[in-house]
Amino acid sequence: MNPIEEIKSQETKETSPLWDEDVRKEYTYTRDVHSLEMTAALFNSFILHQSAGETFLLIEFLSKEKPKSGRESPLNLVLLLDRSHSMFGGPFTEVIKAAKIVIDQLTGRDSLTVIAFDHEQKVVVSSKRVLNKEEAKRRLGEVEVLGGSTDLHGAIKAGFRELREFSGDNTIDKIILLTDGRPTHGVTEDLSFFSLSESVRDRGGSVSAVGVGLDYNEDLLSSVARLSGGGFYHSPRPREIKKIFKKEIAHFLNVSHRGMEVYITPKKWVKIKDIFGLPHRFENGKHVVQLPDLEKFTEQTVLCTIQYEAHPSGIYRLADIQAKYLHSSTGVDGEIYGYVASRFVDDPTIIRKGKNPRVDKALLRRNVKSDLISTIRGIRTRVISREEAQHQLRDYQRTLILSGDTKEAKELGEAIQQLSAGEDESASKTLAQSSFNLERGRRSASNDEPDEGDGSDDE
Amino acid sequence: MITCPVCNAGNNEAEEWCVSCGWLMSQRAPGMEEESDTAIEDLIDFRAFLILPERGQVALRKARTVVGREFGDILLADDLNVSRIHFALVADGGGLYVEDLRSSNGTLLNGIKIPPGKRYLLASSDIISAGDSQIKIEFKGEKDTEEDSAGIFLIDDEGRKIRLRPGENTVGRLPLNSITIDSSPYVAREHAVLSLEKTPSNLMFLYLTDLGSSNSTYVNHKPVPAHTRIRINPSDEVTFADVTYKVLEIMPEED
Repeated sequence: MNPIEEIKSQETKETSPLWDEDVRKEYTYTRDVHSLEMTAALFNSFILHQSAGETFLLIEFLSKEKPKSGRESPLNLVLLLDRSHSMFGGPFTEVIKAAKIVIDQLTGRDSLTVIAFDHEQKVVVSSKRVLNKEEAKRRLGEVEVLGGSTDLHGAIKAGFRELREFSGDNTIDKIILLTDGRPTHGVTEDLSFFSLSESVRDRGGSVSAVGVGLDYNEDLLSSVARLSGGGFYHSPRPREIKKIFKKEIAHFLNVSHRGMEVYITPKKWVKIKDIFGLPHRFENGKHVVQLPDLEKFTEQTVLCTIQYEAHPSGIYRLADIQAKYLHSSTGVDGEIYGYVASRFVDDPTIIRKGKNPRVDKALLRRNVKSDLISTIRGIRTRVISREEAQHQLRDYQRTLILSGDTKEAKELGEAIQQLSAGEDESASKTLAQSSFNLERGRRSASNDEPDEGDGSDDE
Repeated sequence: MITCPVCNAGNNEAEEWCVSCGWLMSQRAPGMEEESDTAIEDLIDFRAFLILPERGQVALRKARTVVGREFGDILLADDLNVSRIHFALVADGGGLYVEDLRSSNGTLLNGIKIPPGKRYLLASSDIISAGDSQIKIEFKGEKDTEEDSAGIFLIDDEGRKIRLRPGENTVGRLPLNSITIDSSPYVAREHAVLSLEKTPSNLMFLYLTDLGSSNSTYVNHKPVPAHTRIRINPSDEVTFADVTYKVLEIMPEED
């Protein structure tokens, strides 16, 4: 029995039904509009009356649109390809192969821009309608690695400009940035990258970042992806770029709800203290959380800490929740409303009946994410030994399996193997990707990502 | 418009939840729990009355009577310092108790503020203060209130009798207690509880619980563990810190 199966079988034995079904029905709010299901629940539906404290609020969005063969919205894609000196040879050849596969996946309704960059940007393909795929591939084949330094900020800025050029009412606007290095030319400050990422997000786009090799700055790339609502991938070997591109394009084409913003309005005597992992702002008494695009048959979670003042006993609505989105298949702007309620009780003995295991699992996931960051820092700074890091990772792996995050658990398994082989830098980057995915809160509704294959069939 | 009983915000009649504090409008106001099926006569064997300002005597008819400015069984609508729901009178185990319902300005028993959510045994002539209103408690038909009539008593070293009332008799230095011992600084402010309980066959049993006092409670000169209920028998000696009482039971005279 492999370690994951072993832990799963233990999970079955250990699970105890703490969650009272009647409590779930009464205090878990679920609403379904435009094939979007929103569920809001507290860590515990019962709170001791006349005492102030903190609890956790989990809001889950589930797209109930099943993946279909066709798609409704055209894709407006910008590929930013690093052609600085370090990409010379095998890596860049793999990038071109991967980009050609991307072209094959596009249709005549899609737009494509390819920009090759080092210290300057060159638009290789700029096509409002990808009608002549062979021509686009031919132009890609002509791109050469010239060397020089890396202007990452300039590349994203140029990509954003091109993205806006072809953006339409119902286009899925996406940038994929591929690089193997750190920004060495032009704007290099992190804050400038962050504000540029937010601008892309505000205009309905996103930047998905693919880091190749071991020299790129995973903190910067994952932040760009997180703030813009894109994905972040670590590709230790150039051969894996094809697989990542395919996976990311599949994600784009599978989007069911876009531009999602969640408005949380706490009631009197209630405050939102923290919103974990997702970009958010406060305006007009509401906390506005920006969610990455929701794909068909996936779920996205928002986890917050809420503070409450003492309430007299009784049932209260603690916060109103509203989500706004663009429904991809109909091109219609939609809204979904809900709330989260709790009963303030004077009998402490019934509180344990109100514990919600789903929120508990979300908290476990969040705790692993925090611990993972400490482990990554420990590995980088060599404060913890490889053996200690592996020991910690096995603990997290077990927790992730119990919380249903098998994909991230597998990634931790890879990192453990990389540490065993002495590949600390590679392990650190694999873990950065796991941490990003855990923070982002997006999960496949079936808890198992489809296997994307090893890429060898793409040759 | 409907006013929220919790936060006082005005709500349209169609609102299911208070727009301000989120209170579910269809539920009973705080303090207004489900009415008990038990009649007050089954819980206490005397009649209890409130003497209200400007209104005179009102008989208690329910096992739990809530007093408030806007909600409850007895309204003190003119006193703005009374909370919407202020205090409750609860008949239980043979005694009548007062409980503050987390009122804004608090409830006073004989001039002492009582902590919210905690019950205090009442005696006839006790005064409850809520806001600017003073309410006198009167018991009528209380069985054998005379010193020499049947009942269970504590006898102090000077031979004085203190009658124990059915229900919880709190013992301590504070005047809030049912039995106030102010002669010794070693007695805790809330030292112990003597519970006089009637069995279904009309037998009376006395129980003692030390409330974790610093200087302990003793029965027949042996210390009793804190927060543990122990049975007390007639002629036992009970010592609160350094103040000793003898327990005396006077049996009813047979006709």
